[in-house]
Amino acid sequence: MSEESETPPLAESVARARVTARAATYWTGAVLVSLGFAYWPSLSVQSQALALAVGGGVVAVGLTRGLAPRAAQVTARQAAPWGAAFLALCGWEVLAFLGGNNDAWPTLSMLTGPLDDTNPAGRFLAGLVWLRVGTWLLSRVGP
Amino acid sequence: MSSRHLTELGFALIAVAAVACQLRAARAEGRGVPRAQRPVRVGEVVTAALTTRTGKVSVLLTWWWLGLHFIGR
Repeated sequence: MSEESETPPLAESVARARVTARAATYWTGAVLVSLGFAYWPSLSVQSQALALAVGGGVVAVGLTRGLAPRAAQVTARQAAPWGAAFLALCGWEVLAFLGGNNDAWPTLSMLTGPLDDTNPAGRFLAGLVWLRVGTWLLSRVGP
Repeated sequence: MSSRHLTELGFALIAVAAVACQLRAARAEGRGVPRAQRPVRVGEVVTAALTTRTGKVSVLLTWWWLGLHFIGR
């Protein structure tokens, strides 16, 4: 077998190993950070510092990278339903906040409180989802 | 209906509308409708926002704030 015919499988194996290593690193980090959110209670200095540091790191990386390719653009007509849903959500949230931000007029964060505020398992899952979205955003921006 | 139920109903209706938009886009994509002529998924709209500097900064900061507010709180 010539050297040339062996090179592609080797390169393929190395590339696959790199992907596996990156995935293992990501999931190890994501699980550790999420365990931190589960372990430290809501509003603790540690929990807030963790969100600040990890989020700040992702944002910093995202800002140093380029923009998403122009081909990803959508028309205003295509974006309109999502824009309307986003505005409705913001408007409803503001109304609930002005209504009192209490049990009678709960904001979204109050409603999700039992899941991501006091429940360690919920905080762990919320951390995983948040980090997954963050890394997805990094995968969308340019190199 | 209490004010709490009204508030919850509002959030639930917005969530249902969002899911409906996503399913409609996924169905059109599954049927092979060209991207320019079909509704888009939320991920496509977010990616489109990342094509401009202002959009990218807004999306990243919003994501950061969501983590601080909902998890770090």
